[in-house]
Amino acid sequence: MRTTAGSPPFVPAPAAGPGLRRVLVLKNLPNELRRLGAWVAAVSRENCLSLETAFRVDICLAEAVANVIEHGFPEGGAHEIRVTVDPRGKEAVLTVDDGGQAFDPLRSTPRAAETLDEVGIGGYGLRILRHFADSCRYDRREGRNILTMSVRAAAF
Amino acid sequence: MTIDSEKLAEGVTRICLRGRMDISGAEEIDVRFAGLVSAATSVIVDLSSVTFLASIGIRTLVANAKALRLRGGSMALFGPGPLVADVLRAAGIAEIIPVLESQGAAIEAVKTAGIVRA
Repeated sequence: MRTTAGSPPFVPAPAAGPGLRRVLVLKNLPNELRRLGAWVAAVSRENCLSLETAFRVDICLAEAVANVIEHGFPEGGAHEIRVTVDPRGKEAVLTVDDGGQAFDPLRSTPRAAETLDEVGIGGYGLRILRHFADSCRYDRREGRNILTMSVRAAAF
Repeated sequence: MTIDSEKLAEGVTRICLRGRMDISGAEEIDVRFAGLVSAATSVIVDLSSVTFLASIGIRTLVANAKALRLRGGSMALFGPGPLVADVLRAAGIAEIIPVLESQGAAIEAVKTAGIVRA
């Protein structure tokens, strides 16, 4: 099914067919989450992902990218966050790659609040991400954080 | 997103949310949501037409539930679809804000919240 062999790494979106690995480069700005959401919806439609699979791809990427935008660059400045979706039939492989400060979202374990009085208003994203991804791997390579997630294709 | 509200019997306010509760959606409803909550004590939130819920949307729900509780009020959520319900469970929200299947159960939860923690 995959036809990426021999393709240049940045195929313009309109020319690419279903099953191709897609790349999106975002800036470290909160507004970019809108662009991410629209892009994920388009990629899911192109690849005929089921409602559940599309939802899980959407939420894993939204939470991972939101976390990088919010915490990755405390010194500010303009930076790029690179997102890929690679639909492989039985699963979609997702990556989020950023040059922000080293952060392993799989090692951070936000404590679950037990009552409304003690709960903070944030800190949910990483728990959601780890719940909805079927597998997660974190690598730090050449000064970049690389988060790789997979989402199994669901039937509906 | 869209938000509308209705005053039900017995002092309960129902807030109905519709659409994608992501960064755009949360921004669209945040001010109105806070305004409606500030004028109410018992609030039930209909999530049956929410198609997507990210952590930013959860912050909106939690911030308003906390604001209500500080004033002695209470909030319950009801009717989420299976994926939105899964997000609420994954985030640990179901333990701190009651999440019910039906409107009737949500009304019961906010009415008894002052007596028994739901």
